[in-house]
Amino acid sequence: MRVIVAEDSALLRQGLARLLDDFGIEVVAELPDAERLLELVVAQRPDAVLLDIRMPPTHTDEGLRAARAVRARCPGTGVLLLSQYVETGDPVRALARDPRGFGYLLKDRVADADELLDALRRVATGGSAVDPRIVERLMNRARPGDTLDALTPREREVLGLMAEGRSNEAIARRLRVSGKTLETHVRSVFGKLCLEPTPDDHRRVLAVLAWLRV
Amino acid sequence: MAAAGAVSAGAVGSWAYLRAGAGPADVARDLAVGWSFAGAGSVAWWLRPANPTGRLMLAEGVTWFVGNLQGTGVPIVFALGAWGEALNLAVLAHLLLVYPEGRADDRSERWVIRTGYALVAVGGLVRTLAYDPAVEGADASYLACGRCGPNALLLVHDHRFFAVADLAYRWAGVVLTVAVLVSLVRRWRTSGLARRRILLPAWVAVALAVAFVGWEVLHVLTPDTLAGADTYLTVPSDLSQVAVPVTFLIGLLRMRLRRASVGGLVIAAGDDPTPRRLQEELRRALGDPTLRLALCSGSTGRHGAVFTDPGGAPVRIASGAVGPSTADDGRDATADSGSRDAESMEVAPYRAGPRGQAVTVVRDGRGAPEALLVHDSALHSDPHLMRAVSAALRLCLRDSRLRRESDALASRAREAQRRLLRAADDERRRLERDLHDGAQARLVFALMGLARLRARLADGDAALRSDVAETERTLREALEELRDLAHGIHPAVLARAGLGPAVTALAERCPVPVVVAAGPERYPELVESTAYFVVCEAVGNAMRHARPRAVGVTVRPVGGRLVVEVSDDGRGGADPAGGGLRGLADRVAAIGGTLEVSSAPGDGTRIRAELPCG
Repeated sequence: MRVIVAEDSALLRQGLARLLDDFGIEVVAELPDAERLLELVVAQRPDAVLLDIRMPPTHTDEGLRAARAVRARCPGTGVLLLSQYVETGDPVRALARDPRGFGYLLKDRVADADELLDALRRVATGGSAVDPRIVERLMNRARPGDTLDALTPREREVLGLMAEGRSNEAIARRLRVSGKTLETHVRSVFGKLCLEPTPDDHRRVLAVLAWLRV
Repeated sequence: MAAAGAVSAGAVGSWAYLRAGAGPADVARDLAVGWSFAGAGSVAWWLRPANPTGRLMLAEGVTWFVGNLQGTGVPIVFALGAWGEALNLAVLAHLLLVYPEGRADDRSERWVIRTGYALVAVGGLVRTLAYDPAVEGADASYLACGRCGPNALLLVHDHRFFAVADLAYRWAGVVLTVAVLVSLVRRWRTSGLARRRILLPAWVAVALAVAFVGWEVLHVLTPDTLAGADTYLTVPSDLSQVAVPVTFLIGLLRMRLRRASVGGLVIAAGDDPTPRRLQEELRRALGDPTLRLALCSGSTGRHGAVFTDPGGAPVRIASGAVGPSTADDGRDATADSGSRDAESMEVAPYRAGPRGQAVTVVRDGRGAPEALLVHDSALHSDPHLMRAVSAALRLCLRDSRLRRESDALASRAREAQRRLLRAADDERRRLERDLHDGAQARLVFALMGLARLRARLADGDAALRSDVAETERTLREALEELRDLAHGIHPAVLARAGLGPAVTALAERCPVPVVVAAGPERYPELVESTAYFVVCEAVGNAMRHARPRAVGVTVRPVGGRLVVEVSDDGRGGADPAGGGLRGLADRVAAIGGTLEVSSAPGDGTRIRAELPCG
């Protein structure tokens, strides 16, 4: 797998490059900002881009805009956004519009190599990845007359993991349940939330995020 | 003593008048006019000692009887009586020309007054030198005294010389009378309303008296044309003459009555009046609609302090006129010590304007000129009034100065408090950034290193792998704690994304539904952190004490101010004076905002903060 890293902190950039290298992922370019990102993506055609949302010069939404440009120009390239803190606004909205090959992690998460590599792999192959803390925040949002209350704790867990963009197998593995048991949970969640059950991971994330009113 | 002089002058004059052959009615009329002038003058002198008008009226009352001395039969007294027969007319002209201030307006008026006295002194003397009562008979004097005299000053025994001197004297008197009338017309035209209000009744009374005298003269000359009219006109005629001094006196005293309205000035001071309002109150108090108030602008020009009127136009007066106070106590600026005639001052806007303006300087407690009143000079005839007005104005000015000073002091204190808050705020922001860019980044880096190490040890020593995993866990906990610490110091989302996202993030972490209405607008840093603090405290209080089912937070700009509202449907009954809310109110007040708390028991709590964004 080939990736481009765009991160303004030299320390993190270096750490990421080493980590990815160690795990057999080729870092084709390391950038301190998003300026030349699109150009490099077009030239290098990496499998995924790992980029910080806030980068020089204004530290507002450079990463987000670059991500949009990359996805518009090279839809096959996965994009994994990194954020310093939980932001449930623009990045999540962008994700909810089209979660294919799109992910959003908190920066602290990169210290968890497994999570990072998993997310990177998912977006590189057209899947999606949402940081658990972001999903938790979304699910905790105020909504009067909440139907989430109708879910059992286990079903809430399943809903959260689906929102993170995980596949049935991954969820079953994590919850240490069988595939059939999980499918029962999934059907139950979809029924209670009045959602159309769908086997397609991407459409499922879309439906769940839409339901979370991102 | 002056009154005693007037009484004795009247007594002597009347005795002489009787002796010259006048009837009791004539003597009574004569006494009434003379004594009423003297009496009114004495009252005016007593009540208005600074105004020469009273003394002039008294002088008129005394000189009124001088002509009567011709009836005494003592040669030298006769001579003096004949010489000063017209002296009271000169005094009357003087009185008319200086009423009511007691001072002439300009040089031409002073010339007329001096000429009047000079004419009596010289013309009267020349005429007296040739006046032989025995020769001239009854027509030469109003006393009709053929038996008067002899004249001690009779030096020129020439009837023709006397006739010429007498005629010249009378014509000079007529010319001078015309000059007086012209001066009076000019005086009227250049007078402000305040002075006209005083002049009019006095002049009407004089005109009436003159008209009645003219009527009587006509009656004497041609009795047939006015047959019978004399009988019933005598009483009004007498009354009109007595009325003249009384009217003069009333005019003088009316200015005194105006002091009662000075109170309006002091009342106005309570409302922190604008200079324009103050000027209006002064105009009302003094009855002078042309009055201008000029306040010391604080700057110093080429000619000393610069004064500006409420419209902002500079008012300049000659240097020296408003120099340091010369009053003995050095504090009390009065009309006497602080004013000059308009003539002696350069009052720029009035140079081409009406005469009769005078300037009163109002000084502050240290004797420095603080304000100028450019007003009708008639007002100077009442120094008490001007002193009262000056004092009231000084009070107003001192009040508004103190108000300004305390406002400035309060705003300096607020500014200092705000600077401190801002410094603390900046410091927290910097600390959070340092933690994030430094320690947090290093911890993440270290964790990534450990992850690599763990990968390499996949097939290695189990004990080593477990040590690495433990270290990783410990570091992760440290990172967690550090993140919470940094968030507590200053939430990164507030600094980087603004109030709306920060409040949304806060709401999303709450165990109770918090509905947020907040836009993406950014505000000044201190306003954002104060607003965030308000929301944190209010939501935190609600969670701790109110047990609400839901909390609503709105953050919106309302015309230059940021309005933050936090309401819940909890128990209510929060104490606005309690520690938490008290601190919140202090924090909000420090940046010039306001905090309202309404928390009726059982009716939820609503906290509303308004923060200025300027």
